[in-house]
Parts: sequence; structure tokens; C-alpha cells
Amino acid sequence: MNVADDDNSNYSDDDIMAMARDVEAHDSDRIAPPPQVWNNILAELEIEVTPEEASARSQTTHSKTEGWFSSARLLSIAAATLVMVGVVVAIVNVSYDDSSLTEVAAASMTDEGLQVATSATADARLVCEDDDCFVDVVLSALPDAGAGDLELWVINSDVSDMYSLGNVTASNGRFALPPGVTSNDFPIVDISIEPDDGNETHSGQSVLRGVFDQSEA
Amino acid sequence: MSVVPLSSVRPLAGAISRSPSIISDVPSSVVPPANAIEDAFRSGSDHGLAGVYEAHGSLVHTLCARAHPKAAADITQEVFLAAWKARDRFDPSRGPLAAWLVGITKNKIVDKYRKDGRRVPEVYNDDGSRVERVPDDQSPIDRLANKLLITEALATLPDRPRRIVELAFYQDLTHEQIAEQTDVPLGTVKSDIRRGLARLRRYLEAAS
Repeated sequence: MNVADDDNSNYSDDDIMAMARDVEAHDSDRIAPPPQVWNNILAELEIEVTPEEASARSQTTHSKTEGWFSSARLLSIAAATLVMVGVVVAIVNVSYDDSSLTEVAAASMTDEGLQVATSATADARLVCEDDDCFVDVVLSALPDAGAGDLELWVINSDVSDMYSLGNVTASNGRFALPPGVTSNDFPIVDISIEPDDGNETHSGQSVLRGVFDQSEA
Repeated sequence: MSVVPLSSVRPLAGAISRSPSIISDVPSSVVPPANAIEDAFRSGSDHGLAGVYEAHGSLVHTLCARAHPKAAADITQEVFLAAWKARDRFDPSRGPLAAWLVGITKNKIVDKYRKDGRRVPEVYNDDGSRVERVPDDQSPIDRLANKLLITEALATLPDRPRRIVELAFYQDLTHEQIAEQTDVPLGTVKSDIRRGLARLRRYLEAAS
């Protein structure tokens, strides 16, 4: 690259180019802070928040609903749910510091009954420390998402509500659960193929799904 | 202090927002009017605080969540409280506010680990593995912060320069190849890349 360095800079053009080459696609993904962060900031600074605003904020940060779930899909999910209940797997090789995390629930994810077929399978673990919970996902392989992205969701049992936890870009990842979201209320864990179309609702193209079963421990 | 509804600034994203990939087109119109937000922030306006949180909360939280997942919310909160208290020290001539916030965030993350009596962290890859080697003398947190800042800086570029810079940086194309592929004159390609490098340098230096 024939671009002269800035003489007064800590970084040469080559340094910057090297750092830029280090960037991966998911580095442009952003994780929104949970709503209590802003509320805590307001409280700390003694700025009042009206209930209306708190409610409005809660709604804007809440999950996506409806959109793609027809009755038929709902039934198929319910059927798949029944089949998958009770399957507990704890094959996890995530090298996070798990010393203070407790496994709360686990699920085995397959493509059974889903819109998109894959030979891949996955195991999901819900781990928590106090109120902070994460979903650890380990996939046998990344399903082919074509030109789209793989996205991880938790969905409630009557499929009326769901949360996106983020894009699945590797065969092993940890995803934070929004505060207050539990596997009791959102027992279905789902990976969908999401086209890069700017539409943040679930595409309906699920490729892996399981149901959290509460762990003994 | 009057109440500032965040929704009046920009709708909050979901629990985790889906962002376009690096190479995809991000309309430059989504970039907030940084100067107006920064001016309001520096003046001590609560609208300024809300605007800054809306504009940069996800950047700060992403860095926290990837470097210290368990304490991410707490650290994000600490960053904005610290930034608000130190707002007089923000000098826009030294770099963008996003980069200044990232500098604070890096310090808060390290502080958190030290307070917990833990070794300053290794940053996790998305596949859960630890970062195995760190290029040059960058710490893992610096490295992660720089990657996020680069994507942040590129998102502020208009469509054509961003596309050209991405082709140069990520696909390692020569100026001539980029000119041919994009049908943009060679001189424009060179000047876009030069400006792009300058933009990235400004972000990186302000956070270091």
C-alpha cells in the first residue's frame, strides 16, 4: 500500500492495515446493553424516570413477537417440543471461566420437524451466576446459511414471544440472556437462518431447535 | 434534571441487535450527528447523555460483553457514569467520542478484573477458545477494542469510500484492482483509502 505514514502518529499505515486485517465479520455486530443499565444510570444520577417512559423503554427493548408464526408452524413447533422434551445433554467444551456459573438447564438441538434440514446438531446449556445467565451453544458443525446469518433465539412455549441472542458465527459460543428471561418462560432454543434483509424478525427458517430441560444440579 | 426518553433519540434495539456484515452497505444516514450529540454531552445536558448512550451504548457494551461477559452490564453502567462525570475532559479535537468512551471502557474492564482479584483477562474468541497469541504488544483487550473501533470508524464513512477501504483492507486488493472493480477513478481510490486510513488512525489513537 503506497500510502505515506502520518509522521506524528503512533500507528503507521502498515500498523492500521494489519489491525484492519484482524477484523472479522462479527466484529461489526453490536450487543445492546440490557435496559436496566440505562435505568441504573438515571437512578445513580438522580434523574427521574416516569413509569410511562420505563414502560415504553421496556417495550422497545422487549422481544419480537408474532410475524412468522402461523398456526401450522405453531403446531409443528409444539409437536417438535414434545418430542424433544427430556433430552438433556451436557457436552460442553467451552473454555470460559465457568467456576462461578451453575448449569440451570440443557437442551439438545436438531433439525427434526424444522423448515431447513441439516446434518448438524447442537447442544445448548443455560448457565447462571445469580441473575446473570448465558446460553452456551456447541454445534457439531455450522449449518449452511447461504448468504444469510445463523441467529440464536429463545422462544416461549406458546411461541408468542422470543428473544434474539445474537449471531452464531462459530461452532462454540456464549450468548447473554436478557435480564429476567428464564428457561421456564422461554424453554425453546432455536437457530434460524436470517437473510441480510434488514428485517429483525425471525425469518421462519429454523435449522436447529431444542427444548431446555431443567438440570438436576 | 429533566427526563430524557431514550426513544426520542433513537429506538433501542432488541436484546442483541443484528448488524450488517462489514462488507454490506450501511446507509451513512444511520450515523448519528456526532457533533450535535457531543456538544450536548459536553454542555452537561441530560439530552446529551441520552444521545451519547444511544449512539455508543452498544459499542461500549459489546466490548464489555466480549471481554468480561459476566460483568458486562455493570461495567457498561460504570463507563457511562465515569464518562458523564469526566465530560469536561473530553476534547473533540483529540478524537471522536466513541473512541474516548472505548478508552474508558478498556480501563474499567481491567479495573473490574483487578478488583475481583483475577488476572487481567484473556479475551475469548467467539468459538469460546482463548486468544492464543497476541500480535505485537497489543493486549487482548486492546486488540478487541481496536477491531471494534475499526468497524465503528468505517461505519462513519460514506458508502463509496467505505466500500473502497473495505476492499483494500479486508480483501487486500491493489488500488488498480479496486478502481477496475468499482469503476472509480484510480486517483479517487487512492484518496479514499488515504482518508479512510486517517479516519481509522483518529479513532485508534483517541482510545489508546
